[in-house]
Amino acid sequence: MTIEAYYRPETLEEALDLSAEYRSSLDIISGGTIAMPAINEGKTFPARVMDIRDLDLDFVESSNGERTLGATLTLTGVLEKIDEPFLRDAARHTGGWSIRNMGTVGGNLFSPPPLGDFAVALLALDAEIEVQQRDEQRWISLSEFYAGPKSTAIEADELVTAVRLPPIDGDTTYTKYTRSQEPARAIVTVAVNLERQDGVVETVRIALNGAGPHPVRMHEAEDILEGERLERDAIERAAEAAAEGADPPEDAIASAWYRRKMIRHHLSNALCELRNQEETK
Amino acid sequence: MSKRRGTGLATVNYPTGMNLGGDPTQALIHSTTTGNFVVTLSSTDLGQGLKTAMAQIAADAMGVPVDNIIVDTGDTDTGPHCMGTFASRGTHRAGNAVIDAADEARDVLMEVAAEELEAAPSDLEPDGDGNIHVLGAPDRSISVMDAAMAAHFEQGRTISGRGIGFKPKSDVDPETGEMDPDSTEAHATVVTEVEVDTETGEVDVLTVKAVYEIGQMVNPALVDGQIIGGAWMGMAHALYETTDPYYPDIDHKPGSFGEYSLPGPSEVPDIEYEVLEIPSQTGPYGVKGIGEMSATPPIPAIVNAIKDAIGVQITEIPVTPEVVLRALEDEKESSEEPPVAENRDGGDEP
Amino acid sequence: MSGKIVELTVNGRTVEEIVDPMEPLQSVLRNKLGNMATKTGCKQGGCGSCTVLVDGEPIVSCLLPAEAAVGTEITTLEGITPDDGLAPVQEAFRDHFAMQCGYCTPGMIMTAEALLERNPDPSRAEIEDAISGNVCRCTGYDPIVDAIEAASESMNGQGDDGA
Ligand SMILES: Cc1cc2nc3c(=O)[nH]c(=O)nc-3n(C[C@H](O)[C@H](O)[C@H](O)COP(=O)(O)OP(=O)(O)OC[C@H]3O[C@@H](n4cnc5c(N)ncnc54)[C@H](O)[C@@H]3O)c2cc1C
Repeated sequence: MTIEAYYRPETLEEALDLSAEYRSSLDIISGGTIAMPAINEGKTFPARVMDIRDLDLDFVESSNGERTLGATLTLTGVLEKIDEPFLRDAARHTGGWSIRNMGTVGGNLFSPPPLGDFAVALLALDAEIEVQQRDEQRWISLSEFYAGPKSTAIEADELVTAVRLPPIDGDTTYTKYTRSQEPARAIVTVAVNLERQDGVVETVRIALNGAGPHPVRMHEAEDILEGERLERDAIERAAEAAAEGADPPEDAIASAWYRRKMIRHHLSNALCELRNQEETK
Repeated sequence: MSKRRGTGLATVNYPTGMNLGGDPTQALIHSTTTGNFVVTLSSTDLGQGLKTAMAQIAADAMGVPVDNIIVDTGDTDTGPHCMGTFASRGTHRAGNAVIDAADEARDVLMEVAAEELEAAPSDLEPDGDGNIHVLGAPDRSISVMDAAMAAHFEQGRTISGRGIGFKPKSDVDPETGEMDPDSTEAHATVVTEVEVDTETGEVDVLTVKAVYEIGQMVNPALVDGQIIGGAWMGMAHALYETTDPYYPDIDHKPGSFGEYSLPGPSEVPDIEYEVLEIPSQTGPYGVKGIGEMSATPPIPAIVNAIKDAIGVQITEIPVTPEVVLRALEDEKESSEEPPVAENRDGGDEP
Repeated sequence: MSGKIVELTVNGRTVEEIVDPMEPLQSVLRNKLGNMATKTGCKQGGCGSCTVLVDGEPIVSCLLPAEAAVGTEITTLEGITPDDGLAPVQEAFRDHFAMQCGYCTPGMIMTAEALLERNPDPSRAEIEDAISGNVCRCTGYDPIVDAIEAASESMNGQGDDGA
């Protein structure tokens, strides 16, 4: 089977019209670093493919500390246009140089586990996703977007057009742990955004990769930390809860058994790092 | 974080060539009209530099500049027979074949030159720079190119030679079990230092120090390539590479390069080595093989270093972080188990 | 399935070629335009042997539909090789024996070119990071890192581009 048509729309209207017309028989490619290997390998045989690279969605806008990233912004684009260390860290750990030159922010939301090393940071920041369809535009939280294994909360005729990030308050930390030098799949990626008031944790978002079918928030661990000081006992209990609550993927790089151990280890390290870091007001 | 260091050693006695049903490699050599010599082989160069080594050997044996040698390893269907480049036998076997062929071709070249110079072939000597001189008469010489032209257009001869590097089949002595399985043996000792993180199970190879006893080196830079590349490959086998990560369970085979673990450029250890050139009896100029053996001894050396670091003998490769952690846990469990009552029969063992 | 004529700018020359829908740039460069340095590797973006520059940025050409490269400047190894002789990075690779089978070499050199263009004096760690998406099976990487280091020195006029 071969591809019948390869569309390269130049306006969002055109793109949304094509999506409305062909719905699930139209595959989308943004940077292509997930879609193309599957096609080259013969794992997917799309009849029609729409490339969204020419839609001018590679922007970064900021106002009042809020940032909006276009869906086709490449990871290299993030490194060129954004100087926020946490986001840069996440972009830097997503693929090697040539992959970052191609892979996009939007595409990363759709990557199979244990990938999604940029998305996991977005999840820790409570990002929102702009979703558009011919007759409708809506924003949903990234947590809602992840509907379950291999499924997202968007319809076949919808496109993700942007990611919106609230101002980043408090402290952040990002760790990607791999088996070998990157580019390499994560064993676990830990992204944490934590706000403290006089040493007491007010809010914390812990997002992990390699802990579920997509980047996941660890609510139980967060609950343990909130209202507590970042001390050894609380940290250990939170890390333990995350390890127990995780449902890690199993692949050639690591078993679920090992991933669970490393979730505990690296989340605990990440929280210790935050403890040792002066509190940002 | 708890990191433990260890040192491990491995020695290897590595065969060059095989017994098989007889282990031959043939070479043919012939001159072009312009005095280049084409060495035809079916021995394949897959990056180890065999063509370079064969050109050097042919040039030396013919007495002509290396630039005048063309090595053609084009086609195993039509070329002279070779069993293959395996068993670290390429330079040894093909080298002997090339010398054998070059000896024959060189005799013809001298006969041709002798006729042109009106001298006896035994009085001639090539200078390695493209000329053939009459011994003791410096002004009487002919270029290899002119000799080749004369052979082709005046004397009507081919300047060519046939050669073979051959190890006859050795049968096992039914009484003693004795046989001669290989052509020579190279040796090495490799020492590695590792650092093991007992919390993640990760093993970091810090250094690889090695001594290789490989006979005469035909080309030290190619030997260096084998040793450095081999150390990396050995480390990759010891710690990373596998197509069956949960063998004997065949699930979760790596589906792409992204899932197949290989150490990257920043994970290469410091590698230091010495080469001892103790000539073999059978190889060209005393050559032994260095190909495969560069990748094998680093593996047990690394596994032994891990044992030195954490006190547990691991018996599978690759030693992934997971393997280390499980080994440490098993060790801990077994040491916590109540001691089994020993010496039940009131033994007097020590 | 319908082929389509597209105009590509490869190594400064504009060429027209018939491409299939979503046909990877790698296949067009190698199989149709004869740029044999662009290897066919894993076709999954994982080995780097098909690395070329698009508007100066290294990309894996197996993952880019050729049509998506219309309007860009594509550079392959052939494009950086002078008509007679070798580019400094190529010379350094030769002088440092930075290849054995040679399969990774063109991709490795394209990545090195892009690195040295941006960072004329990279540290070893920066070199190791830049080439980490290009897999080499033979050399153990050290000779490659040595070569890129030497190329940077020779391009900055610091002599020693030899072994
Ligand atoms: C060698 C290699 C290494 C990699 N390493 C990493 C890594 O370390 N970490 C990591 O997280 N990822 C990694 N990846 C995966 C991938 O590169 C990234 O996840 C990248 O961000 C994906 O973006 P893309 O634009 O290329 O995706 P595409 O392939 O373009 O898109 C993937 C799928 O997402 C959907 N999609 C994309 N955009 C939209 C949109 N706007 N609206 C609706 N649907 C859309 C489509 O269904 C499409 O098929 C790697 C890939 C390769 C080949």
